[in-house]
Amino acid sequence: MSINHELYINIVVCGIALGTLARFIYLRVDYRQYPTYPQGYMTHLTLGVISAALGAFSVPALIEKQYTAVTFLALAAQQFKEVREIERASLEKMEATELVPRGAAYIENIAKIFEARNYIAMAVATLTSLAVYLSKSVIIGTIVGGLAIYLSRYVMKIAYIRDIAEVLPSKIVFKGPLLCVEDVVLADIGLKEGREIIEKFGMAVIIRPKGLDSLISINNLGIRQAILHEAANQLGLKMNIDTPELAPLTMNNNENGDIIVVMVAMKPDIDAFVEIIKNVPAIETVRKYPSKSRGARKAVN
Amino acid sequence: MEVHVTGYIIAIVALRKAKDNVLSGTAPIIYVENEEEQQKISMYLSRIFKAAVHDLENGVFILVKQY
Repeated sequence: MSINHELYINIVVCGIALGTLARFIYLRVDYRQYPTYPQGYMTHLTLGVISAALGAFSVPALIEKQYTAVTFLALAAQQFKEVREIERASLEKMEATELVPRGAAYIENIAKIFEARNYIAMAVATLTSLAVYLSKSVIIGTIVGGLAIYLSRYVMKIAYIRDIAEVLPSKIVFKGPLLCVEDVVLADIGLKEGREIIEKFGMAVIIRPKGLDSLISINNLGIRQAILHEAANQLGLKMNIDTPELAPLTMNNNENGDIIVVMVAMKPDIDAFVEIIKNVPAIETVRKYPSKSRGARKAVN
Repeated sequence: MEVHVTGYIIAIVALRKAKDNVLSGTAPIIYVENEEEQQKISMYLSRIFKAAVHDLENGVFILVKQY
């Protein structure tokens, strides 16, 4: 079975266009994990076009019984794994320059999302070109592609801290040199100067998990590091490398499993602080679901 | 790969009247006369070594470097 030239062009162009569009949309969904600089856009868009092209060409290739084309898809998968490696390596290199590092868990999460986005571009392109081939209509192909992009949001959906926990503002209290929040000791601050700055500019919030799953997840050091990184990078820190006493802290309350976050920010706005923490991604790679285990359910009941 | 020692005491700043509370170890002990001087000296050392000052509430301050 062969395809006439015009249909062939329609299939491929339509597939590439919608696949690239999918990649482009995911470039701009969120400000945190995405390159905001032109070179970053360029790198990821180019790779997006390549993955869309691979997806789009796979349909006519299979129709023309060019089964070896499938091996190219395997090659593509290898290529996208490389994207993950690149993203991970570049973020890891930058860790040393961050006052509050992202942490391994957060980096892994970002890298995985980057990889997945290329697969989305490829899948959208394949679906679109298949639809164009079956219906012989560019318009129907575009509709199917648009639908695929819309549905891909469910695949790429990420949870945030606000979905798994409540975030409540709290107060810092000093008991002698001990920095306490709700009777939990977070640190011993020896310098009077440091204590004065913390009392003046310090903010504290309590992250109260909504259930067993979130209790275990939120206790993960990777998520806690991500929270510190996000808050520090959006509100600014008073801390410098020679004032480690002003470093942001997290501690768990061993009575009820709450997590306490303390930060000394340049702009001590507690509402903004709460809002930022609510919008930190609850890193999927380190989340645990003990409620699915029979043993853990017994412990809760 | 860089190797760091983490969480060690860099120096001890003790009031002279609390000298029974400290004994020589790996870290140098600096004796001071009053609490004001103790704050000042430990602040200087903290800035120099980028270490956090912890108050043990018995007249002894320790400077700990975490990383």
